[in-house]
Amino acid sequence: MKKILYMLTLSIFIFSCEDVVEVTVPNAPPRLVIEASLNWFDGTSGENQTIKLTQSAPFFNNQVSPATGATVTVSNESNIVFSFVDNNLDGNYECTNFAPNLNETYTLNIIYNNETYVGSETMTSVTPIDFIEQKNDGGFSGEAIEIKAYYTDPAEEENYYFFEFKEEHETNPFLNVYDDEFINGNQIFAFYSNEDTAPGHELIIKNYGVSEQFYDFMFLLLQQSDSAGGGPFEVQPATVRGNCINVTNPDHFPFGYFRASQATEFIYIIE
Amino acid sequence: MSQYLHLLSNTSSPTPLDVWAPSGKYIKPQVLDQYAVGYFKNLKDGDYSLEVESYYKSVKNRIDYIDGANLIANDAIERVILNGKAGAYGFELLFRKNEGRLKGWLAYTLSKSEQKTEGRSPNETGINNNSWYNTAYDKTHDISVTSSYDVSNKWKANANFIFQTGQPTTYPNGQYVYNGIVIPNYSDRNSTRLTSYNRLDVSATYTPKPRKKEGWQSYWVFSIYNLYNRKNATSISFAQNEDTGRNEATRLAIFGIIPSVSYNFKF
Repeated sequence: MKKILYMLTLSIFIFSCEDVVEVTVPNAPPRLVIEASLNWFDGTSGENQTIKLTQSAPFFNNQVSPATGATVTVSNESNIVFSFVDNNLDGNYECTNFAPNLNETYTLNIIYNNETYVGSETMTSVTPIDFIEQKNDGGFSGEAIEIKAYYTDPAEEENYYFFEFKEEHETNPFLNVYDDEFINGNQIFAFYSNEDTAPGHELIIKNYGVSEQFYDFMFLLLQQSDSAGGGPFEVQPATVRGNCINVTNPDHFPFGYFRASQATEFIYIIE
Repeated sequence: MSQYLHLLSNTSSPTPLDVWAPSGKYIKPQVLDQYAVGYFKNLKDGDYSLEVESYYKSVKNRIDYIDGANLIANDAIERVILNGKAGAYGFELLFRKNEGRLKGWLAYTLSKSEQKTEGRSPNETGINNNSWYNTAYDKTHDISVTSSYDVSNKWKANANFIFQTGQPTTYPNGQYVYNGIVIPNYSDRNSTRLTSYNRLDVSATYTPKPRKKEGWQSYWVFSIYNLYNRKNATSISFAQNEDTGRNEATRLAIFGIIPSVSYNFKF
């Protein structure tokens, strides 16, 4: 019986195959994409901040275009307004006098193509990365390099973490979100493994403190963008909406998120 | 008719996870009304027969997952579903040849199966903004032709052809870049379809001793499934190719051409 089962499983692998195909997909009109991430890194003043605005594009386009000509401001609880200016006309709106404060709520206001977009978020704290552990005999092959970035979760609060691993020579960062539901108060790690990892590469690890809402947002986003998409435990994909709304025309909602995080960075050279 | 067991399926995935949820405190039983009209006629003394039927079905308390539901080890399934309704209607035709060396039938179904899942309050968008959408198994056209031909006492040939409209699925309608990664943005649930499904199977049955009616009786079947090796898509997934940086659609096809030989016996 075991043998038959084994043969059956094997035959599915032999006869099934994946290939890249040409399909026609629907094209929705472009929407504004808000990548407003206020990051206050350890040991910096947090004065320099950038908000990136782009537009969504048809799925098979090779690139997305920036959203220029917008008016972007962020205000704090005492109604002090910080202006973000697109100096290079590339969709990167910069501010040089931002004043970050932990647990302060900030409100984002964007006027783009005569429509007003708003969103608000509270600056969330983060814990530093304690140390990095490297293992050279990981994975199925027993030869993969695995990196673990350890951090200590504070016990008294509910925490959500957003990790970004950016390795030299890689175009895309590796992102992951973690919550502390099962690890509250313990020392725990964020995990990174990549088949192209090689000794000598510089790996920049960033950890951002984020809200529960951002955790949920990013969790779904990562699930739907995963190249292994459509795992067995996923529902049908759908539009993931962030915390920004279009007050002029609610149906023309933006993509992306307005995040405010305390952040910490660790640069590690792969051994 | 009522049904007290609900099937929840995340059908966009190639390995669907089907959850059977019983009715209870939070999930009301499915109640169904069905109407059907049919016509049946034997032609030429029963050599041929023709069946025509059309049906209409409406279902109350049809449940579906909310967008972004978390299914892993979820023991409170009622928190990630919404109650809706479903409807199906269609027309079926079956033409059969019952006698002679060539036997077989042709069946055609034209149908529509859709559902509507509304939010619990006006502030909730439900699924697809409270509008009707295709169920995962909606097939507009479904044609099947089955025939068998007695070549001789010992040999018999069979062929079987199936054509179906592609299953509803959810394709992306755009992409954007967030935090350095490409995000496909998906359109309304089940608003697009996979490519159509069709395949031809052939087989030959060989009975070495056709007159033997007792003791060890046996026959061989030689068959080829999916004769023209069509790669019918089970699912299509969308993601960025990490090496080229381009977005790609990847088709998963499970069964290509499969020849088989089987030996059957009874005693």
